[in-house]
Amino acid sequence: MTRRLSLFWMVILTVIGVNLLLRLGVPYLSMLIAHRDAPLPVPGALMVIYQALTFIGVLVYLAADERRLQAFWQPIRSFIRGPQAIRTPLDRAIGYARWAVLGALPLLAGWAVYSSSLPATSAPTSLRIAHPTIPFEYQSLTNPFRNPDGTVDPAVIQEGRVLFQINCRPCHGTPANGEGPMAYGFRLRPANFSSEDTIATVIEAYAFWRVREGGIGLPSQGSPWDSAMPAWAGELSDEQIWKIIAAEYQTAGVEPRRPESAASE
Amino acid sequence: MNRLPFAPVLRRSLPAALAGLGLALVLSALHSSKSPASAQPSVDGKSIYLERCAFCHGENGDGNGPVARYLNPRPRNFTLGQFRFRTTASGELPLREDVITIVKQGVRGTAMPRWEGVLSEAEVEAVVDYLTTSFVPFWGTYDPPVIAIPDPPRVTAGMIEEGAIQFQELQCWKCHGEQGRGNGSSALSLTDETDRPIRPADLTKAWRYKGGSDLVSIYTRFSTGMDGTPMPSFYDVIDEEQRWALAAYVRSLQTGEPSGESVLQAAFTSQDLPTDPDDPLWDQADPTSYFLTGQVIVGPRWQTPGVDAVTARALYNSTNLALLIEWDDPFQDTQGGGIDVLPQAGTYVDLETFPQNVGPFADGLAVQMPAMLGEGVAKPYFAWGQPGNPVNLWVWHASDQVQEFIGTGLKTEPAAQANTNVAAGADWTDGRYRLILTRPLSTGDPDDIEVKPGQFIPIAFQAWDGSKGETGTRLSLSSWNNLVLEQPTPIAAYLYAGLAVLGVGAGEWWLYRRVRS
Ligand code: HEC
Ligand code: HEC
Ligand code: HEC
Repeated sequence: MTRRLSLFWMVILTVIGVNLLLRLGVPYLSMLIAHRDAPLPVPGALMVIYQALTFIGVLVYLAADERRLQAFWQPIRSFIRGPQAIRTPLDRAIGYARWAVLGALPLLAGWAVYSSSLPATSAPTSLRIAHPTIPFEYQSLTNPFRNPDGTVDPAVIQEGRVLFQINCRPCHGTPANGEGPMAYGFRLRPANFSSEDTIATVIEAYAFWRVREGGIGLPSQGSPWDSAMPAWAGELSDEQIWKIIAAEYQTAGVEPRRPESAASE
Repeated sequence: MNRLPFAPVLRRSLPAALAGLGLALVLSALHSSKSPASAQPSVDGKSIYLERCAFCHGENGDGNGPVARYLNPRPRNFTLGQFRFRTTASGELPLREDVITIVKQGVRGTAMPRWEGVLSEAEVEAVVDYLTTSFVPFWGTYDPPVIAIPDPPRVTAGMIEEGAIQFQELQCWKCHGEQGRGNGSSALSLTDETDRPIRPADLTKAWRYKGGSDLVSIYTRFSTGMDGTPMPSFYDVIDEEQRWALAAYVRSLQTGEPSGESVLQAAFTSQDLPTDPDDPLWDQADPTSYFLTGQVIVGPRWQTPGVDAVTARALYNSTNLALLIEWDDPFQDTQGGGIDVLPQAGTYVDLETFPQNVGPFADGLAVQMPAMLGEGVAKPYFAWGQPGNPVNLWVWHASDQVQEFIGTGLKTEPAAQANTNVAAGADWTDGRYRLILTRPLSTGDPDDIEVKPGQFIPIAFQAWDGSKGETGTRLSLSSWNNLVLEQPTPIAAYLYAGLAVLGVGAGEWWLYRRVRS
C-alpha cells in the first residue's frame, strides 16, 4: 500500500514548486532559448500576478470542499495544540522542536520585514530592449551591393572589411565577436555579431539605421544614454556603411534576416 | 538559415512571453539552438592569412597593413624575425609552438586578437605555418636553443623577499619603477625595433600583462627577454632559485582588476571630511574600481588611453560630500597650455602622423554627474551629455585648480559654469595620483544637482594623461556608474519589524487558545 502525501504538504509543495519555476526555471529556460549569458528574470509585476493566481487557485481548491479544508487544517491544528501526552524521549524532543518553531516564526517575520525596509544598496536595473522598431524611413532600404542571389562581390567585401577593421574593430573586435581592445570599459558591451541574437535577427536596413544613428539615436527603451555605439552618419558615406555591413556579416559568419519575413512583423 | 518569423518579437518581450507560452517556446528552442555558423572550414593558411591577418600584418608580413597606422603597439613585422613571446634564448627565433600559443591567446591590451575559439586548431597551425615559412628569415634552417621552464615551486614569503632584492640588484626599477608602475627613470627614452617609443610594462596591473600574469609566464618573459623591445633576458645572470624568487616578487606587485561593481557607496561620518588622502577616516569608505577606456565615440577617436582604471571612495557628513580618487599615471605632468594639433582628417587619430611633440598638456581627471535629476528626466548621454540634456563636470587639472563645466556632448567644448563649488587637493607619489574633491551636498547653484542620501546618482569618470598627448576629447572615460550616500537604518525599519514579531506572536497565541478549547 502506498502512503499518499497529506493534503497539507501537497499545498506547501505546490507553492514552493511554482516559486522555483518562476525564480529559476523560467529565467534559465529563457537564457537557453535566447542564447544569453545570464538568466533573464521574470519581471516583478508578472511575478506578483502569478503568485497571486497560485494562491487563489489553492484557496478555491481547498474551500470548494469542507472535507478538504478539514484535512488541510488537521496537521496545523495538531501541531499548534502539541502532543496529547509525553511518553517517550522522542515525544519530548518533538515537543521542544515544536516550541522552537513556534518561537522562530515571529522572529522570522520580524527579520523579513526589517530587511525589506532597509534602504536599497544595489543599483536600480532597467530592462533594456536591444532591438526597438526600425524607424519608418529606413524600413524599405536594401543593400545596393548585395546581388539578387544574396552574394556580394569579393572586392566590395574586401573594401568593407578594411573599413570595418579600422572603424569598428576597436569595440566590436577583429572577429566581430564584441571583444575589441576598447570593449572592456563599456558596461553596455559592444554587440557580438557572431552570436545569434544581434545582427543575425535583423534585416540589413536595421543594421544600416544603427550604424548611421548610433546608440544616441535609439529610442529610450534602448537606453541610448549607456550606448557607446557611435553615430557614423557624416563620418562614413552611406556607400561605405553598406560595404561595412556586408563585410560585418561575412566576418561574423552570419546571414541577415531576409526582408520578406520583416514585412510580416 | 532557418528562422522562425516571430523569433525577434519573442526575444524582445521574452520573459513575459515565456511564462505564458512555455510549450511554443520549447518548440522554437529546438529550431534556433543551432550554434552560430563558423567560417568556412578552409585550412589553406594563405587565404586565412589574407582574410584575417593581412589588414594588420600586411600582405607581405611587413606589419604595414592598412589598419596598422592607427595602432600602438604596431602589428608585428614578421620579416624582421624578432618575436616577443618565446621559450627560446634571447635573439633566437621562436619555436613553432610558441607562435601557435601566442596566436591562440592573443596579446592582451593590444590590437592582436585572441584567435582561440575563432579559428580551429588546424586553421591556427595552417596560418602560423604560412606566415613563418613565407615571411620569417631563416625559419626552419636550424633548431633554436630552448630555455627549459621547470615546474614552479610553491611561493613563500621568503621567496618574495629574495625576489625584491633581485629586483633591486638587476635594476628592473630603472625601467619599471620602484613600485613597478612603469615609471622608472629611463622609461621615457626607450624605443622598439622600429625606433618607435615604447613604455615598460606596468607590473602592478595584472590585466595588462601581454604574455600572461601567472608565475610561469613572468619567469619566461624575463628569462627569454622580449626581442625587439628593450626588455632584456636575465637568464644568464641569476640561477633558477633566484629566477623563481624574482617571478614571485613581480607577481606580488599585481593588483586585481576592477570587479564590474557599479555602486560607489558614500559612508556617513559626523566628523569633518578629510583633506589628506592618508587620513584614517577613508578606511570607513569602501573603495570601488572602474575601468576607463579610450574615447572612440566621436572623431578624432583615441584608442591609446593613458589611464585605464580609477579607484574611488566617498564620504559625506551633514553638509559636504568628498571623493578620494586614485589612479596610476607614471609621469606627473603639471604644465598645461601647450598647442594641440588641429583635429585630423579621418575617424581615428592617425598614430603614424600624430606628432609626439605636441603639448605640454597637464594631467587631469573629471567627475561627471547629470545636470538635472528627477522623475521623468532621462539620463544624459554617458560621454559628456548631449544637447538638451547636459552633464555637470568637475574638471581637475594638475596645472591649475578645479573648475565646473556644463557638457553637452563630445562635439562641443564644455562651457565653464559661472560658479565652481568644488574644492580639490591632489598628491602624486611614485606613479600614482590621489585626488580629493569636496563639494557641499546642496550648493544653491542652479547648475548643480542637490545630492541627497539614499538616492542613486549617475556618476562617471574621465582622465587625461598629459605625457601621452591627451587633451580635449583625447581622453579615457568610464560608463555611467552609481553614487549613493548610504543612509542610516531608518527608525521605521525597527518599528515595523517589532510590529511583525508581535503580530505573528499574537496570532499564534490566539490559534493556540482556539485549538485547545
Ligand atoms: C565605441 C565603441 C563602438 C564602435 C567604435 C562601434 N560600435 Fe557598434 N556598438 C557598440 C555598442 C556598445 C553596441 C551595443 C549597444 C547598442 O546597441 O547601441 C553596438 C551595437 C552595434 C550594432 C547593433 C547590433 C544589434 O544587434 O542591435 C551594430 C549593427 C553596430 N554596432 C555596428 C557597428 C559598426 C558597423 C561599426 C563601425 C562602423 C561600429 N558598430 C562601431 C559600440 C561600438
Ligand atoms: C587588428 C590587428 C591585428 C590582426 C588582425 C592580427 N594581428 Fe597579430 N599582432 C598585432 C599586433 C598589434 C601585434 C603586436 C603586439 C605587441 O607588440 O605587443 C601582433 C603580434 C603578432 C605576433 C607576434 C608575437 C610575438 O611573439 O612577437 C604574431 C605571431 C601574430 N601577431 C600573428 C597574427 C596572426 C596569425 C593573425 C591572423 C590570424 C594576426 N596576428 C592578426 C595585430 C594584429
Ligand atoms: C631597459 C629597460 C628594462 C629593464 C631593465 C627591465 N625591463 Fe621589463 N620590460 C621593459 C619593456 C620596455 C617592457 C614592455 C615590452 C612590451 O610591451 O612589448 C617590459 C616588460 C616586462 C614584463 C611584462 C611582460 C608582459 O607580459 O607584458 C615583465 C614581467 C618584465 N618586463 C619584468 C622585468 C624584470 C623582472 C626586470 C628586471 C630583472 C625587468 N623587466 C627589467 C623594459 C625593461
